[in-house]
Amino acid sequence: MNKFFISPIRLATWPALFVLISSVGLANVAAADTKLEVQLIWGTNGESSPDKNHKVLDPALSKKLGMFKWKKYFTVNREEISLTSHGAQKIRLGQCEVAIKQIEGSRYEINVFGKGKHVRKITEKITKEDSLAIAGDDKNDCAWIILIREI
Amino acid sequence: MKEETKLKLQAYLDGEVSNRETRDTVDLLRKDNEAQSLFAELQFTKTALRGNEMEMKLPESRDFYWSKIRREIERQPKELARSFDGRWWKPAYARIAAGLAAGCALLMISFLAFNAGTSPSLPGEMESTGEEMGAITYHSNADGMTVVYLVDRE
Amino acid sequence: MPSQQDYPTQADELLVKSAKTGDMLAFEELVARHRDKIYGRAFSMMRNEDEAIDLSQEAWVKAWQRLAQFQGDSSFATWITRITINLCLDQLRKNKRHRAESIEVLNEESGGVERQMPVVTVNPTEGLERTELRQRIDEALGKLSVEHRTVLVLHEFEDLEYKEIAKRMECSIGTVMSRLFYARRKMAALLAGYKRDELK
Repeated sequence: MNKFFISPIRLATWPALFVLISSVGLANVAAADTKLEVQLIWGTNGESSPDKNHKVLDPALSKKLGMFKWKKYFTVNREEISLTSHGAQKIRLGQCEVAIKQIEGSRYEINVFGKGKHVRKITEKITKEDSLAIAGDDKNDCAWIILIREI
Repeated sequence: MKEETKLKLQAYLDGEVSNRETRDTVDLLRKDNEAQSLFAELQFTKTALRGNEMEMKLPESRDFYWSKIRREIERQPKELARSFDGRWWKPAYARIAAGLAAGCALLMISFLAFNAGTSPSLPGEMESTGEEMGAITYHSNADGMTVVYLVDRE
Repeated sequence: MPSQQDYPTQADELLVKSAKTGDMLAFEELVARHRDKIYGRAFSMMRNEDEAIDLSQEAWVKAWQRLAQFQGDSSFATWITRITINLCLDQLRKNKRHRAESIEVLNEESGGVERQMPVVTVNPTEGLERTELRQRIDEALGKLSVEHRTVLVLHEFEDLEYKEIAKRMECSIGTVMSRLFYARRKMAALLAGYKRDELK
C-alpha cells in the first residue's frame, strides 16, 4: 500500500474532532452566560438592623424597592451564581434557601424553602430589565425580600 | 376557591395583573361558575362606587371657614411652619416632650430585647407553615420588577 | 395684578400663580372653589364632621405654606386633595393607637364575617336614581370599618393603584388587596340588604 495514501476515514477524523472540540467549547461559553445575583434583603421601619453585619442596601436598589412600604432596607446575604443552560443551583441565604433552575431562556423556576420546608414554587422571567422580588411579612412589621437579578 | 385566586380575580378586575395571570384568570372565568359570580359581584360594587360619591357641603359659611384659615396662616410665619408638621393648635413643647418620650421608650425596648438575648426580629427568618404558601403576583413596568408576595393560606 | 372682582372668573392656575406671590385673596378664591370637595374627602375618611372641618382647614394652611412646591404636575384640586388625604391618614393612625384591639379589628384583613357571606347575585343598585344610589353608598360606607372604608375611598374615589395605596396606608400590597376585596364584599352585602328592605 502506498505509504502516502491517507484513508478517507483518517482524513475526516481531524475536522470532525475540531468541530467536536469547538462545539463543546462554545457550549461551555454559552452555558456560563447567565449570571444571577441573589440577595436576601430585610425591610424595616426602624433606623437600624439588629445585626451589625447587615449592610444598608444600595440607595439605587432601595429606590427600586419603593413599591414596598419599608423605610430602610438591609442586605442580609448576597450571592452571585452562574447557571448553565437548564442548570440548577441551590443557595442558602440565612435561614432560607432558594433553588433556581433555568427552564428556557430567561424563564426560571424558583423554589423557596424556609427552615428546610418547601414554601413556594415560582416560575417567572428574569432579565436584565426585569428583576424578581419574592417577599413576605416578617415579625414586628418587617419584611424579607429575596431579590433576583440578572447581572 | 382559594384566597389567592379570589384576590387574583379582583386584581384582574382592577387591571393589576401580569399578562400571564390575565390568561389564567380569563381561563378560570370561562370554566368556573363560582368565579364568575364572585367576579360579577366585585364588578358591580366597583361600578356602583365609581363616580357615585356623595356630594358633601361644608356645614360652615364661606367667611367663617376662611377666617379661621386666614388667622392661622397669619399666625404662622411661612418658614417656621414649613418645619412644623402637625396640628397647629398643639403647643410645640408637647411635640418635643412626645419625641423625647418615644426616644426613651425605644431605648428601653432595645435594652430589654438585647438583654433578653433576642433581637426584636430576626432578619431572614422565614415563618413556614410546612405547606405551600399563597402568593400575590404584581408586576411594575416602571420599576422593572415582578413581585411575588407570599401570604399564609387561610 | 387682577382686581378682586376678576378672581371668580380666573382659572385655578392663574389663582395659584397670584397666591404664590402672597396674594391671599387669590388663595381665598381657591379655598371657596374647592372647600366642599376637600371637606367631603376629609369627611368620607373620618366620618366625623368636626374632625373633617379641622383637617380640611389644616390642609388649606399646609397648602398655603407649601405653594412654592406646587409645580403644576397635577391639578391644584388633586394636589390639595392629596394633602388632605395624608392628614386624614395621619389622624386615623393616631386614632387607631387609642382603639382597643377588638376581634373586629383583627379580622379586618382576613375578612372576618365577610368570608362566610354568600355571593350577591343580583345587582342591588339596578334601577336606582343617582341621588338615591349615592345616599345608599354613603350610608354603607359609614358602616364599614376604618380600614375598609379608607381603601375603598382611595381606590374607587381617588383612583389610586394598589402600590400607591400601600405606600400611603403604610402596609403591603397584599394587605391592600385583601382589605379591598373584603371591603367590596361587605359593600355588596350592605347594598343588597337595603334592596331587600326596600322590597319588604
